[in-house]
Amino acid sequence: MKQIPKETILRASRGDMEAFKEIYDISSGFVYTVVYRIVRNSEDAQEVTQDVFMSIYQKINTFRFKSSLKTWLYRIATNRAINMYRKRAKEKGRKVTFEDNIKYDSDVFNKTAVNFEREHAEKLVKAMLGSLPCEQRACIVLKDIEGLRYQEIAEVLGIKINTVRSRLKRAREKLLALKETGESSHEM
Amino acid sequence: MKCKKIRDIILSDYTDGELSSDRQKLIEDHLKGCPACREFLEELTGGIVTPLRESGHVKPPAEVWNRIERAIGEKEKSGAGETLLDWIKARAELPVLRRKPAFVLATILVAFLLAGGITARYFSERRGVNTYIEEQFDFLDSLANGNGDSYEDNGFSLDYFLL
Repeated sequence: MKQIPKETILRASRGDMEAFKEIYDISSGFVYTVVYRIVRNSEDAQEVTQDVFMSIYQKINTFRFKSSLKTWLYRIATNRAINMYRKRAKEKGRKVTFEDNIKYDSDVFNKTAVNFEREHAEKLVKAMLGSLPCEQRACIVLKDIEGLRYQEIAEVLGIKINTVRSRLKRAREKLLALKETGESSHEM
Repeated sequence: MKCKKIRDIILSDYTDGELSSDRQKLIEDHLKGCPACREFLEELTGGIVTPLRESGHVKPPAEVWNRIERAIGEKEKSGAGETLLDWIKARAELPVLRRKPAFVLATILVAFLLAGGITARYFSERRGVNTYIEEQFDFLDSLANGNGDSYEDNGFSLDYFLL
């Protein structure tokens, strides 16, 4: 991600709309991606992204440069997305910590393993993320898609580094197990 | 190190580049001599990690910025500055409050009780001083008006006392 200049942040904190648009242009890609990958539908992702940037606009004058603006943005985006996901899960009467009952399409794995076509790759990513509990999904998104370090993920989610490590490990174990099941059932 | 332990590390720190160079070398030495662990790593990287890493960023539709701009404009037009509720909400999202809300609330409560105790003690002491001064004024007043009866009644004479 391109760095946001300090001067731009200061201008935005004084209510300069052009500076705020500059921040939006630099950061909306990763904010929307994190939110979209966690909530898993574009309508909710748009609503949460709007909410995140409204919140940033209102609070940017309280930003004290103690952490990076990037970490701050990730924190707000991830927390809002998790809250939205939990809200939707509650509305649907699903238990929050339960995994999504997404049908795991073995064909997705087999086709994409051989051929990384864009459409299939996207289906694979969606299927993988959809099969994980929300907390593990957030860690995988921040690590594998956003490339954050363990320390940064811990700061964003307000958890310990060891928790980050174990969530990533469990998520990948699960994905490998599902991949294996998918492949073996396809072979049968 | 056994394969189980090696795979646990492959699933997290090794794949994520979080290992020290010594430990990294330890895993790589094991992988050189262990085809099963090599296959495990390839499966993890090729089937899981790479597709996620290559998925890239998704751009929000242009409509999102338009909505944000509109919402900010409406907020500015309505002249609504930061309300007390906004102020409290903003503070409620401080990291320390998110991580240790019980600790922060307990600290506020203790500070509140301490402040209350000190204030109460201050006023209680002040009330005692005020009462004493009032009594002295009453006494001097009674002397000035020649009503020193109570004094003499106790078997003392003011003249004797002053001498």
